[in-house]
Amino acid sequence: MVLLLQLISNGIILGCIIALGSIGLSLLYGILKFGNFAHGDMMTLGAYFAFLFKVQLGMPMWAAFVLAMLLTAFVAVIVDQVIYKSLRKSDSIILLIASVGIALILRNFIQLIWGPQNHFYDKGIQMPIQLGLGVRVKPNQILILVVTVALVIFVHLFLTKTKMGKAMRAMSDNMDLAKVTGINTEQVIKWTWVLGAVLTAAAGILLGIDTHLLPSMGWNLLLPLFAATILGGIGSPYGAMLGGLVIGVSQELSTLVIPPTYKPGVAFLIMLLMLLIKPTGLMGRSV
Amino acid sequence: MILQVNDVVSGYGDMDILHGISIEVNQGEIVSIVGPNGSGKSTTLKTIFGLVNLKQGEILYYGDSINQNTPDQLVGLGLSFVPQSDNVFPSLTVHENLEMGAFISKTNKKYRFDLIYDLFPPLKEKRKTQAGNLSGGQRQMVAFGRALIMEPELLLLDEPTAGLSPLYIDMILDKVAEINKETGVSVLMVEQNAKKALKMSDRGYVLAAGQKKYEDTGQALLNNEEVAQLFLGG
Repeated sequence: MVLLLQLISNGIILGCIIALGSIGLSLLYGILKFGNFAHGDMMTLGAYFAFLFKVQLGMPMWAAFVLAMLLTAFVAVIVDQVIYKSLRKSDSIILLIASVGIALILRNFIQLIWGPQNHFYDKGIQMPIQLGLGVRVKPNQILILVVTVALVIFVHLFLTKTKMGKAMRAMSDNMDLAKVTGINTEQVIKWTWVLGAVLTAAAGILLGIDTHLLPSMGWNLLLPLFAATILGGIGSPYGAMLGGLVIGVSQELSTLVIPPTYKPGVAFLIMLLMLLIKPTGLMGRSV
Repeated sequence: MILQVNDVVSGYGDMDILHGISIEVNQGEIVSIVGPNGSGKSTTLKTIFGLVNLKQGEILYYGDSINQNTPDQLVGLGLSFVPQSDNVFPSLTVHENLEMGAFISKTNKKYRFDLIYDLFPPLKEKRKTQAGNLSGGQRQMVAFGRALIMEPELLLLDEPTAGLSPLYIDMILDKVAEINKETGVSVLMVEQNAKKALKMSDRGYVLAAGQKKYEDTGQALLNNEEVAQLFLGG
């Protein structure tokens, strides 16, 4: 029982990180109609930018967090303008392949600058807090939960209350109509990259806070990210939040019955099952 | 003259659909384009709105060329387009759909929304309903409202009654006439219900196979026996 609760609690933390990454992935898919394979490595980039500001430049963590999110967003917009923009009218498979290339470039760039070894934001160990019933969490994990909830609320308000957020939903509904309506689609695409990058950078930093930094940290999470996106319904940011939690908790719970090494396989299995049973996802529209 | 289309050739890829079409819309007019399926009616509107490749000819809006303008620029200039199908954002509420129509406006002018709700009272009650959950006729109202919210000077309507029940067909066409009368917006409309459309139009064009066959006042086209036999089903 204690083990079960502990795994669920761990799963929620992992789910938070996956959810933050997959919201952006889902939004980008909804608007640009391609799976961004560089999303995981953008997550890594965000984590390393925070490392740069926090550890190498000695800034406070909150400042490093914010600056890293902004810098990642800046990189995402540049990559979009230089690479994806000229491919906008091409087949989505070409954009997808381009994103694989960008994923490789980002990861190798990170490895070149910061090396292949593990990095930490903080040295030392944190004493876990007893939550009762024998469940223990690290203070950092509570931080992860709080930051995620705050960001999810922010995303919800952004999508439902701001003109730019509404335009993102409109473009995800119908790109051609959005153009005809007078929505400046290029401007909306830029803001979608900013939002997606900010969220995935946050996910990367939180993952770094929970564990450590490694050049392959985001790439390794790409499968769960896609699984969460598909589970929730591609293009649905709310589905992605739900999908992230389900994938996170399932992965952790799976260790009850299978060796932990196979955890990523669980995400893959859920993704396959969802595609077979209900390809539009839990909260997706009929496409 | 608000719109002048001069000898326009346009189409998709290598295929030309319009083979030299000329059309005019004067200030405050309702102008209808009728003709059989595949005659290039819708393509004409899409070409004007920059959605189909313009290969030859010229499109003038108040005498200035708009050949190179993107749709969002055209909206800024006072043109507005209601596509035939999929013309609302289904997951957005009615009100959000209208807001999208006003995307280029820096300020959210409330009176504009009030005007639209006055024009289409059923929308006011449904302002928080997702447009995808509305009936076909109500959806058409949303599409009209979205197109009218920036108070355009020229409204392009692509088969506004397509797929609607007979009751709604008359209602929507009456609305078009009412909007034209009340706001003074000029209307260029493509319509399948050729007789009804011509009856309410100041002028009309009959297209066939990407070319202009007839051009006259709405009433004269209705009375033209040749037109009646060939294009209006006797």
